[in-house]
Amino acid sequence: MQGSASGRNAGARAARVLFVLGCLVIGASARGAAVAVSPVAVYIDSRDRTGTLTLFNPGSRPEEIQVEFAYGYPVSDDDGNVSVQIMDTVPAGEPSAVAWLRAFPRRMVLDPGQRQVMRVMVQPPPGLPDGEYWARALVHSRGGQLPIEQQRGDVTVQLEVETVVVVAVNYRNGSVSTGLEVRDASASQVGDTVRATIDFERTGNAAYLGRVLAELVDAGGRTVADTEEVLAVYKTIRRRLALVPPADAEGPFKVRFTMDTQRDDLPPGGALPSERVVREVDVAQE
Amino acid sequence: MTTHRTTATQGRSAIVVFALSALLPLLAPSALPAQVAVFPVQNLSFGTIRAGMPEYVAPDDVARRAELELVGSGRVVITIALPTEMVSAGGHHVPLLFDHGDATFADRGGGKERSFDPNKSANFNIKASDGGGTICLGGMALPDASQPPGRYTATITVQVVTPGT
Repeated sequence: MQGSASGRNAGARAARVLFVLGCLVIGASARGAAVAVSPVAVYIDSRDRTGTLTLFNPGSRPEEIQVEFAYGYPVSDDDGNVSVQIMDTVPAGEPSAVAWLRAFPRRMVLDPGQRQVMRVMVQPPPGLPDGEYWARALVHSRGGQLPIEQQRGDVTVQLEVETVVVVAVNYRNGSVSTGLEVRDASASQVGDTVRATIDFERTGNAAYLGRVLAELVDAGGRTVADTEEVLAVYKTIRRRLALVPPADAEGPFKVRFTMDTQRDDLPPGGALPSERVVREVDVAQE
Repeated sequence: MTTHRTTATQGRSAIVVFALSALLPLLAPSALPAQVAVFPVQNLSFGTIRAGMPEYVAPDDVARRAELELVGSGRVVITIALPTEMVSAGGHHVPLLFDHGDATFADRGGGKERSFDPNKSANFNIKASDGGGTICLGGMALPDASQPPGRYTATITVQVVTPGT
């Protein structure tokens, strides 16, 4: 059973690789382009202390690349909108790995079609407590597109566009574990849409990387609508999902949230295993 | 015009072949999906700027707006660090203004165009079936009445974050 699931995941991953790379070809074909970075996150453990990123220039012009590290993790606002605030200065007491990370090479020029493997090395201090320590690699890319330039009139204008791809870098020291607690959950129907809100708090000493499935269940116990989102809980986070019941569905409705750590978009071993969590709430009418 | 397009198409085809051959090594078993990538397609062009004459480019101004193409799928947060001014080598400034509604996002699937404030982070969920989308950006340049001639420069920084990691 596990082998079958693993095979499906590998197949899905391969399909996604082909799809994304195909899109990159199409996207890059018409213009100069920024750099593509793979994978989406790097997870490094205390045994090898090294990770890799592959940078690729699918464009038609050289790209100047510079890599730096900063601190940040996903947070949400009251409406459940998720963002990652990148901080230049690490607040005291935060589990930051920024100071211990080095990139090799840190600067490079990628010619059109060229790819480059970049190593991320960790040099943690001695006596570091077990747990996960966080950083973000910022891959700056510029020079791959034509600058804006006009010579007409009395003012010449030139705007350069720089892109920054932000990649999670998590260092796992010693024994790590993760889990999830639901602090609050609610659902209400406004018009033809059910808005389901759920607040999470992470347990353990490492980020919870998984997904949340919200199912709208009708009076007969049938699932009449569902939606799924990836989920990253570093400390706490709120997620809000929208569900639209079909016209012939009959309430009262419930929303069933299911959270697990199946993530085929992450590198193998990226999502730490944790038990599935299920929470069900009634849908209030507004 | 036709000649230009034909040449561009031929060049594009050559690049496709070139890029595809370069991509093949990435299809190794160890290859993993890249996150949603952002490609600058077209820069913001204010055209002729004259002293004392503000120049506005709307996000639906096909010829002059900036265009950024997102390639890939999944949820992504785009943060655009917008310059407040362009600066010349002589230290003179041309203020820039970007307001709510100066940016739009449209997915490749032909979904409804969405307007957003480029001064704030924007969260997009790109379906795998769409494979990407396009961000268009307008803005306003505000040269003053005594704006000295010169070459003015600025940088727009587009940050791409995958919030599920």
